[in-house]
Amino acid sequence: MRDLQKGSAEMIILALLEERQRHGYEIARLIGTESGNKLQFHVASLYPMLYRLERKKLVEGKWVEKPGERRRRFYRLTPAGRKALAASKRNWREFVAALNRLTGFSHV
Amino acid sequence: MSDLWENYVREHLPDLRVDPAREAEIVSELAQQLEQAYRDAILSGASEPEAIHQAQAQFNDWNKLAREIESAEQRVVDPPLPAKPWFGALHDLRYAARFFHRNPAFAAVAVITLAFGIGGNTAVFTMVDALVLHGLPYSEPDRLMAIDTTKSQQAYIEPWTSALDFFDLRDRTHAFSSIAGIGPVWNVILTGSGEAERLESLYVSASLFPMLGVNAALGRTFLSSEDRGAQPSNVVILSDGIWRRRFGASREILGRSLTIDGGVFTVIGVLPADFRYAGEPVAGTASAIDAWFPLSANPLTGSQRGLRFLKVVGRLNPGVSPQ
Repeated sequence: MRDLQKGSAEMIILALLEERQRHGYEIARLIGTESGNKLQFHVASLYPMLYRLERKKLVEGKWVEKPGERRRRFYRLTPAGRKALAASKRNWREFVAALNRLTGFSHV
Repeated sequence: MSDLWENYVREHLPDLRVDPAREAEIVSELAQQLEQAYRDAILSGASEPEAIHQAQAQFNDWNKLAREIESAEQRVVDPPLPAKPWFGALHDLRYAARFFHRNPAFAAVAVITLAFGIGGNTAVFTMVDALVLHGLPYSEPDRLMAIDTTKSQQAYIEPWTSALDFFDLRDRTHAFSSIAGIGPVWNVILTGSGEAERLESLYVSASLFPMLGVNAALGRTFLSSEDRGAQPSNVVILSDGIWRRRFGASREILGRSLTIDGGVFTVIGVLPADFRYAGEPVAGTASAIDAWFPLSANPLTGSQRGLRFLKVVGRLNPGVSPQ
């Protein structure tokens, strides 16, 4: 389960950026709240992962300063990131479908 | 408070084997994480010591964090830079070089570092041509330059400028024939006839449209008198798109009063159908802009130099080279 979470962490981050750009704090918070606190993603792991995704050109970080607020670094998907996310979703669906067939969960 | 958290991160995070400017970015970002955690803890009712503790608990193994960041960065380690007078400028140029490397589509033309004596805290302006210059529907697009700024002792360049720095630059520059400021507008809602509608909007200085060589298809663009003064001018320019979609391309739109965010704004012009805002999206603003407001209508225009919220673009004077 640990490896599963680790392997899917990149997909989770990419998926959270699919709709719109977000900053690191928001990403960390959403992972907890959107998963009903089933998934815990320590922020000490989040930022290196964001930097790795940026180096891989799957996300793009940009400093944004909104009026009246401190500047923040927002991340958004690049076209390559969007393709990677689509591929990850396909793989994930196939994996879950296979799991359902093997365990019979889909017939419960 | 943000400086306090930056100092805290610098004290705890081991030196990273990355470019100094990149390290400064990382420190700043990690400090934001801590500060936000602290603020949220306070809002949740935590005491000051509890909030500080919760924030500090965000990162408990700084050595591991440093190793993971270095691994993620996976970049060639630069040798220590000699302490020379042009150290800061070199930082700027290296930053710009990385920017261009990461954004090849931006067709970088030039990087110039100029020293201006503007204000007390802004010592160096680094001008980076960061627009896609060729093929833009503007007059002489290769003469347009995005102007980024950095404070003295600041290791990174920001694509933002304060209003006061913008005014100083506009009034004192000899390199540019015209300089325009562009600022975001948030949550502008058009009400009145028809359903309420959120408008993508920008505040712009009156100089923008003349600088781009763009005239209104209907009516006019902003006057310089609408760009300054204590009383904001309640005028608005619409895009061709919203003019056709929402107002049926009626020429009677000129002079009509629109209720926008509870205020009343008079329509003074409609932009050409082929006009598009080709600048970088401002703080998440869409590139398809529906409504344009004068810079003076932005209450932040009266803010201090510390608040940097404007994108600045300039047109080079004839004879001035970007190199």
